[in-house]
Amino acid sequence: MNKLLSYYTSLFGTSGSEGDVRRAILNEISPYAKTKVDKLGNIIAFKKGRYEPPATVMISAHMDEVGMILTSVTEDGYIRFDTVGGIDPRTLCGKHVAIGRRKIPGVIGQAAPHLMKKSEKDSVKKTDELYIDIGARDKEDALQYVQPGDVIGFRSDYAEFGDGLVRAKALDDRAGCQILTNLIKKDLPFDTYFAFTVMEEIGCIGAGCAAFEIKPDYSIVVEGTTAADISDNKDKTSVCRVGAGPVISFMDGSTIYDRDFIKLACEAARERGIRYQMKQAVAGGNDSGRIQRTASGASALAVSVAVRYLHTVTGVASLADIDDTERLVYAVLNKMLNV
Amino acid sequence: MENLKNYLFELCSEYAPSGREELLVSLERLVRPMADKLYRDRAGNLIAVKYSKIPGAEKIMLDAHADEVGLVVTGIDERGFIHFANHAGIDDKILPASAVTVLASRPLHGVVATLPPHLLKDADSEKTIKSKDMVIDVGYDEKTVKELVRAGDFIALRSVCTDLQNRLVLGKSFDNRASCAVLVQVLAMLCSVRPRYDVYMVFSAAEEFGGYGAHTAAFEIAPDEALILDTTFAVSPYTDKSKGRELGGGCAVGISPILDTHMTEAVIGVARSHAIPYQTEVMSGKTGTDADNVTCARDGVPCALLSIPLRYMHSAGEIVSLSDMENTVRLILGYVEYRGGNRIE
Repeated sequence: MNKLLSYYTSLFGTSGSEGDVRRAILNEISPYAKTKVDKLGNIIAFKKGRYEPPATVMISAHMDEVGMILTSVTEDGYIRFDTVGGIDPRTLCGKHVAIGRRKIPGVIGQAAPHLMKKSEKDSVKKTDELYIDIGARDKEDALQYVQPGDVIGFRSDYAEFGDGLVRAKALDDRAGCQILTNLIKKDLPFDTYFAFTVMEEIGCIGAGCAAFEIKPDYSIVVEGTTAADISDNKDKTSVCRVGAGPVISFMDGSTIYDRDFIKLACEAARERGIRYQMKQAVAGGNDSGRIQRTASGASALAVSVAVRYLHTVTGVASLADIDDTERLVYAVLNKMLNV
Repeated sequence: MENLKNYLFELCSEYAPSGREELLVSLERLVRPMADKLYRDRAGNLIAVKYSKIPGAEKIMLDAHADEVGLVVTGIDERGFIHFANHAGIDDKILPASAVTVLASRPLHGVVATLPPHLLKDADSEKTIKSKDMVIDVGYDEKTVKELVRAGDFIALRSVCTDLQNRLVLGKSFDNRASCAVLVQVLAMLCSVRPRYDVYMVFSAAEEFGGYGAHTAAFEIAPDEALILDTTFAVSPYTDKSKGRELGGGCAVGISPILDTHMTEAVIGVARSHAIPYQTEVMSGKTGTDADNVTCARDGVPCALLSIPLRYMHSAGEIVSLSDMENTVRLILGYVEYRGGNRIE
């Protein structure tokens, strides 16, 4: 079992409340790198390598995950909430959650089908029609446990299943956090900066500040990206496929990636015999968009793990893809030293 | 009754959609050491008998259905995704992004597949997704999936049992494992009292598919009367006080033309004399429980109905109250000890 991934995905880190994840990562990497936490909560880590760096390189992954935030409590003690980050409300009914620092457990309820009218069965429940139930007697009782502004995370058990796959929440981007952690523990070719960023899911807030501090010439973002390779999706692009190797982006909603850097990454992959795939859609976006245009700018590369059912409680990725993404980033570093 | 929650959580760690009740092996394991006789019948009912020491005692059937709602595999496509149909009682809206267990030649983890929001058009998210348009991902290629999974294999919702506040608990299949756990607790406590009835506990099959299990069990056992245990809708944001029972207000004693008036009055009498909290649930005909089937077995079986209030029925996030379950145990024990005695003597 991938113990570190299981551990990282078990932590709650809705955007803006990455504390648990940050503490866990600092624990893991502190013996191996010089670390600091900036004002927004990003971890900036400096790892000595064997040689002087050819340029300043920053490798980043975001610590936060999509979730929800408590907006109010009803007189009967039920919780109203809004989503934090891009969540399809249709994936919420019946899911288990944890609320606030104390991780108060609850569930997003839904009417019993026996009592639903036909019109109700056919209509989508919007987020503002959903409630979380923590078992409170009434409002006063509920407010002993939770309060407006508490962030809410999904609860799920980590499982490895199928042909080398993993099912977990928050693979976007704890997979990236796990890859960076492993890289920091390795013997690296040259001095390298790492950033574990905050608040990616609400607009790539942390990454810009981390990049301003580090001022990289080259940025490598390690992400979880959308794989739509599911069977009822024949007409649309699958974007990328789970199990087909690390995903290299040429362009997405926020970044046009550096063509030379992409070429170097593809060559590094071929030389090391690492399978990779190009992202086949201009969709989504990640911290690269921010980093690329921070300070005097950086050459951007994004290497991602393909994740099915992204931004739900049941993300699915390939363990081999995760390992290969780590290998590819390591190969890129080695190749950079030779250019 | 400190074991009651453990019984519940253990029973809910397994999957037994209607027709596969034999998969609930924890139930057999719990009940075996306590029963005078234990057997599984042709319909899939598990029946535990505890005899009275009183000669000529009447027979009471205590019925709780052991099955749960689920899905069924209808086919496997060329990419190894499973197509499925609703097997019993699940609303499509809870399915997207749900974790499930496919009860194939070995249990498989699965996920109900959804498209990511990044690729959705605004209009897409306005539409409900129908189960016929969903697929289940078990993470293998077509060849492997076809080796492991067959059309007709059942699929169950998956979730981990959790404590909430105020002695409420959260999990899947509390409908009707909450009642099964109550019966296990009753059986454990019957060992130390002298029941005035021969007690036939029926952990019945296929209630969620029309309740044939309880019907055939009632024919075989030919009880003098039957107490039916199930769950009922609790008040929630989606169910107001006119339609739901209060969670934590005690078990709901059913009142309905189909139920036996004398038995129901006796149940309420026991609750009052023992100061056991209860509430009533008035229905106008059929009850939607095994009582409907047991009542018309043989030449008729008088039934009373006890229902444990439950929120978010038929989802992986059902909620019941442990105190309601405890009060249901007390009520059943009270009935079995006192009512039976009063009638015989």
